[in-house]
Amino acid sequence: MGIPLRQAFAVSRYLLKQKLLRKERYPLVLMLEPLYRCNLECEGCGKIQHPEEILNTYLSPEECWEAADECGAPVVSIAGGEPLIHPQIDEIVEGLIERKKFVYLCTNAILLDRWLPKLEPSPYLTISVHMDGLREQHDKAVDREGVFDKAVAGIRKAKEQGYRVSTNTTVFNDSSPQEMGDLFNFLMDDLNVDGMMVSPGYDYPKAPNQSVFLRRPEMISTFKSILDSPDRRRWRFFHTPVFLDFLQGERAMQCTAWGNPTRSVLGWQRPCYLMNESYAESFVELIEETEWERYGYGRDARCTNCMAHCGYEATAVGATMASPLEGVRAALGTLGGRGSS
Amino acid sequence: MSLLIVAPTTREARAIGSGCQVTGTGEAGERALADLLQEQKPDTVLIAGLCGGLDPSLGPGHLIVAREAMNEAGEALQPPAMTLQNARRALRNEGSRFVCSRLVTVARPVATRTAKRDLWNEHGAAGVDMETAAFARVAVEHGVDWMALRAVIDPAAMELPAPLRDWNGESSEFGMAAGIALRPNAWLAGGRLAMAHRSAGRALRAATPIVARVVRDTVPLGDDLLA
Repeated sequence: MGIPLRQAFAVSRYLLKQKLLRKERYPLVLMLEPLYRCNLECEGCGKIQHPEEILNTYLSPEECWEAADECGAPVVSIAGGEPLIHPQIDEIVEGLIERKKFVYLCTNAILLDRWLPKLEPSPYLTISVHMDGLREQHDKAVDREGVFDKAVAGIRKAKEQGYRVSTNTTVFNDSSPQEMGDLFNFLMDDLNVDGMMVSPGYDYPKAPNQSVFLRRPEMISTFKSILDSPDRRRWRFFHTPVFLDFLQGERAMQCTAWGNPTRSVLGWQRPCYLMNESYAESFVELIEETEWERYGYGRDARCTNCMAHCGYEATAVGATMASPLEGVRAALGTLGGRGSS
Repeated sequence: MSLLIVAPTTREARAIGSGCQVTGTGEAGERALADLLQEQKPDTVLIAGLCGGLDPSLGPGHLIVAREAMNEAGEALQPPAMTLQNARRALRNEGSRFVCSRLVTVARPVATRTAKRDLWNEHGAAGVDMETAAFARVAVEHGVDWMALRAVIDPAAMELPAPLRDWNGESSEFGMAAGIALRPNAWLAGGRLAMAHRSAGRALRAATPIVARVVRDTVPLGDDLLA
């Protein structure tokens, strides 16, 4: 899988503790959305269509830290909106690192050079840059020219300054397997990123362009083609091998919606990061009062074309922990650095 | 509302308890159901029984309330939404382990993990059986509402013992059991299946009266209120 050893140990220890405590539902990654405001309007995004008063609402650092404490997940992914628009994002990150959370700061990198002087490199901090393709494809996906070049410059600068940098790629129906392969080669070889994440786009009903989303069978065949590449062994993904098997249709899995709980400016989002049916006032309320059985592939029509990592990576981690063979496979990926099949 | 409870096999009907009628399987089962519907003229038929699990999060004894029954050609039928909603609520209040999902009906047992995975990826059905879609169609043709409740016997990760892969109704079961007895390499799988059968039977026995009560108590809204 390729995640850092320190993180792999911390997450394994956390999972073991949950097992010993016989907890049925526990979070793995807190999805923290301290704001919905963004400086882009990507064609496949369903997060930014809120009224102005909500777009102008930001979570305070204290609220972010409280969410992390309340939830207890070892990993915090700061998303949004564009987190680097938040005027106190450095304080938020610092407070989370003090709590020994592994922070993934998700960004389109447009404002990255402004923030780098205020963010301290740390083994607990990964800057995760949104990269949906090479120049033409990426700029089309984010609906603005020049963003790819800015992101590349931001990644280079962050790497030079000693930050851990990963990328997050959403695969849409116009993402050709060949171009995805070229992108991954470029990210690994030219930019030398520490790892990559990849996920099929979720068909947000509010996304500006509804024609970009893949249906489940298309997702499976697209990922088969992408991951069949002979270059595959050189790509380091921050995913479990089980999740990559799932994307290729080689593994049956059900969603673990509570694995990545989402705290946004509106509260604890129910039921998952991608669907906002209602909001709970506390994490305990979210976990205990949500009718989880109602959601998932085959159960809710909105989940039909979802294979996103925010729902299925937690299932994959559970499956990895439950199988010694998968555990060894994932460990080899972590220890071996680049790529695990 | 009047209700008819049916199960394809004697074994399943026995697990459900008194009041459940056995139809048989295949085309004979469909004919038997049609006869029962004509004789008894119920408002609703509850199709109950066991099924194979496709949703990998379900274990033996997990219940599936069908929100849709689909055949292999992709033709799908839905039960009345209000009854389904009420059944879901009642099962939840009773603490049953269940999901509301699609059931896919096939002609032959789905025996291997790979076949189950492929069916899951294709249809997103929580369970697979050999009767529900056909029985639901018979009910619809007779102007009778239907509901289906199935308990998972073999979950997605469980392979069926080789002798059971040609199961085609109760008449073939004695030969199948003998087949397992004669093959030591099928004993373990057979033993696991027997234990799973017990869990599934218990779950079905506990949940069927709950769903039956809901079906009997649900008064459908008139067409004027639905338009």
